[in-house]
Amino acid sequence: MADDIAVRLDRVTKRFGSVTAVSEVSLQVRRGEFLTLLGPSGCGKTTLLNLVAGFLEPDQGEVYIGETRVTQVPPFQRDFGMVFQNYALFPHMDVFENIAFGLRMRKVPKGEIQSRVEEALDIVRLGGYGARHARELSGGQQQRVALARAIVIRPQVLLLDEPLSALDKNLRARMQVELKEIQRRVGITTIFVTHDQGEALSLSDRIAVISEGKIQQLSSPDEAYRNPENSFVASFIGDINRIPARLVEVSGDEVAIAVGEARIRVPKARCHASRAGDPVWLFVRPEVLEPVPEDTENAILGTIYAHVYQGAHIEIHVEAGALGTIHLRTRDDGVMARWPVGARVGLVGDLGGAMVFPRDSRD
Amino acid sequence: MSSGIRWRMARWLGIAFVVAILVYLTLPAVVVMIAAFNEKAILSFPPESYSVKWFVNAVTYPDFQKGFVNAVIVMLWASTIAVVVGATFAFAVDRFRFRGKALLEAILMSPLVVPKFTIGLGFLILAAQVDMSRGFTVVVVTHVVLVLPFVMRCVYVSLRNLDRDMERAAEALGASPLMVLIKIDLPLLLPGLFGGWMFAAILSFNEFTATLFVTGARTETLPVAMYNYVREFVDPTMAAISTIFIVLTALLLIVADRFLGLGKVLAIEEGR
Repeated sequence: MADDIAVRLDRVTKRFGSVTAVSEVSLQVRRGEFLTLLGPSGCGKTTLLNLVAGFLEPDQGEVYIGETRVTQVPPFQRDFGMVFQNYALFPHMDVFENIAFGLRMRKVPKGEIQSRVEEALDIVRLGGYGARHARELSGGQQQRVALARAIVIRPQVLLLDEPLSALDKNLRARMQVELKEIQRRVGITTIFVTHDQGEALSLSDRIAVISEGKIQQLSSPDEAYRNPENSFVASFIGDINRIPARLVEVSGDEVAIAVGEARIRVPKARCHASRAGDPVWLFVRPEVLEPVPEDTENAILGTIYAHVYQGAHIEIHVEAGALGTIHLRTRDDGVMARWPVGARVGLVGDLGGAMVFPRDSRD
Repeated sequence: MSSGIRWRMARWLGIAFVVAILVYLTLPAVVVMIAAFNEKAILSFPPESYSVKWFVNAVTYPDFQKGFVNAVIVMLWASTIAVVVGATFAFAVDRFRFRGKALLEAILMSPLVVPKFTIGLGFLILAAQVDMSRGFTVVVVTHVVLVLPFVMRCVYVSLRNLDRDMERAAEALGASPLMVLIKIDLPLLLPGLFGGWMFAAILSFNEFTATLFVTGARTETLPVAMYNYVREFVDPTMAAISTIFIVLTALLLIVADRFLGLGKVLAIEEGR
């Protein structure tokens, strides 16, 4: 096996009773990369992480850490570090002993434990905090102790189970930057579980978008944002409008789509539906759309419903009848005066980056 | 202004109510403790003159001395065995699913339902069968059965409060199941185990009904010795020994509170 693969899942399936939490998932995590398992709650991302850790055993398939097949190996004999959602710091030990625990279990000599714990504390910028008690630390500090405890054993892979979700918003943003910086500096392979797409986009080298126990897309954050492979990924990553439409015609390298009364052209490469007449979803980012007079040719028609001032940008909600509510986003403050709430409006935009996916007629 | 007065009246009524409850709860103990200092050889209240001679009598009375030692021996054995057995069972019931789990739980809780009288009688018959009716073994065994439900409750509550991620974190760091038990579970469960042990000790030390059946002249515990005393004499010695009893138990609780926090010991608060 190629030695640049740190973790490999091979057609892994895990069922809980009649529920299939993970279904025939194969995944290779490259050495040194930051890979995120992203998905809504109950999608199977945490189950996947627990399969790598060994807290769960797969019903089918194999798990490898490095070159070693670990499918039946108990967690304590696997080579990984883990940070838990609530940190799980040992309350009966001080910070030093918490971090030293893994080294003691590995029977590392005393002198080396001392220096390695201090080194780990320095890495997470908590030098001198060794004698503190876990409960005397702030949430962010506890987080860093948990991280130090996981990396001090120099594992082949670091598993992070929504480690930022217990922090408040500002601290979370700071810890994101810090986490990424530490990961890069230590160069440790990392699998990160989150339901927060913003976190996934900003931290990851690659994102595995997961839904219903399957990987929907495995790609760079940029790819997942620009080129979602299906409508689930398109609607899960980034803010996006999902508008019901119909595929009218496929001609040359463009397709024509009927959105309400409007006819819109989208590059053929961006369209995943094939037959004329098919119901489709049109996915458009809010920043792509702009308001125009309603008599503009091929504009999507609607009524301004609300302005939402966000500081850096303004979000405008447009009520478009059967098409639902469409959001657009602009930096132009004048828009609020020119398009007051209640005004009729047309929406146009450069749809070169829009996406078209097949739609069940049920939807 | 009138609403202020009403509010103040309600407040005083509330305080009076709480005081009434406290008095009601402590009244028997207070009456006995005062009666213990009566100079006269009758159990009357309030005493006309005071003396500590009944305390001297209680402490120097040979049956009480022997009863105290016996009760301590039985208490130490019974509570220690009950904690080990109870903790093991509580752990099994919390962690594993197995056939007959509900039945096991029911049996372990049955001493709460079966009268102590019946339990004592049962062990007396059994002990006579195997010719152990004169020894400490049968007394200890009886006490273990009686206190087991309380110990299990105590340990079970602390087990429930134990964050399973602690165990997983330790396992992730390379701790084998045995090391997880020694380094994580035991230290975190210690307050619960100690609470259970103390609960068991106090119950065992005070146990009378079942003990009456299974003790003989040699193994008679303090409560049984006190009962035998009352059958012959009615003087304030009884009140004096009761007072000593109360003070000892209170001291034990204070010590436990000082070192571990009473709430934690009795598993009232969350462990974390």
